[in-house]
Amino acid sequence: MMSEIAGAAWVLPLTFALQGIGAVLVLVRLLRGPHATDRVVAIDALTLLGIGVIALLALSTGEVMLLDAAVVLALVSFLGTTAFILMFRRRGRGADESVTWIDRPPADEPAALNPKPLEDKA
Amino acid sequence: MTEGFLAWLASALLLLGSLIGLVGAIGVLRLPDSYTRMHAASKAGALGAALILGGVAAASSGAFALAAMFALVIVLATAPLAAHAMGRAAHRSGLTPRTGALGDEMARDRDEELAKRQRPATPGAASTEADRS
Repeated sequence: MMSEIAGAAWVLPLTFALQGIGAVLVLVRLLRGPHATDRVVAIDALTLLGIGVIALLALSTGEVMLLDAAVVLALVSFLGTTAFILMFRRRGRGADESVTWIDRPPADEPAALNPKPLEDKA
Repeated sequence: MTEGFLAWLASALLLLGSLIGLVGAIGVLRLPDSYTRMHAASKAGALGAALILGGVAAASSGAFALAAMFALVIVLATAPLAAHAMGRAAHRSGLTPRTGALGDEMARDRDEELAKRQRPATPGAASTEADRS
């Protein structure tokens, strides 16, 4: 094996165990989470722990390919989080304010840039 | 000599990364608010994963270093972006943070901005027209 670690007999099992304990704790938050954002944050933390576990697996088995799997998991977790964000867009506001204050163009914008006129202008 | 140093560095990085990941997981479980849990998940979790990837790069004595550094850069680039977008979306969806003495500054900025845009007399519009032309 090409891996050279000081104290390899106990470092790798200990790191696997710590990541596993962390995953169990995050899973408790994922199942319990009172708001949906808590569950999304828990999924994010769980994939970060999974990236660590995949890196440790790549070290213990000697497969370089598993690090590419870690890269893909990081990218997919980013896409997944941004997809979950679309779920929170229109909650707690009326239909008129579904476009919130950052997305809304100023009221004095020309009509070509502002195709949907605001009601409060009139 | 250098191989012994790399071996010690690798095991130290692996242990430190998994410990920080565990601390982040405890923070996700125990912190009182969705925003503070976001802090624990994004900062401690990303630092733990990055330290483990650095430990893998050091342990394989350069064989895994390129792939591990690439994964590290990807993790450090995407995790703060995801957490920032998540916090902003949570604040927009009406989830009020548990604030301290300074209050909810983002809600105050939003209210000031909405009041400024809904004001009927438009000195701001005249100035922006002058700026645009």
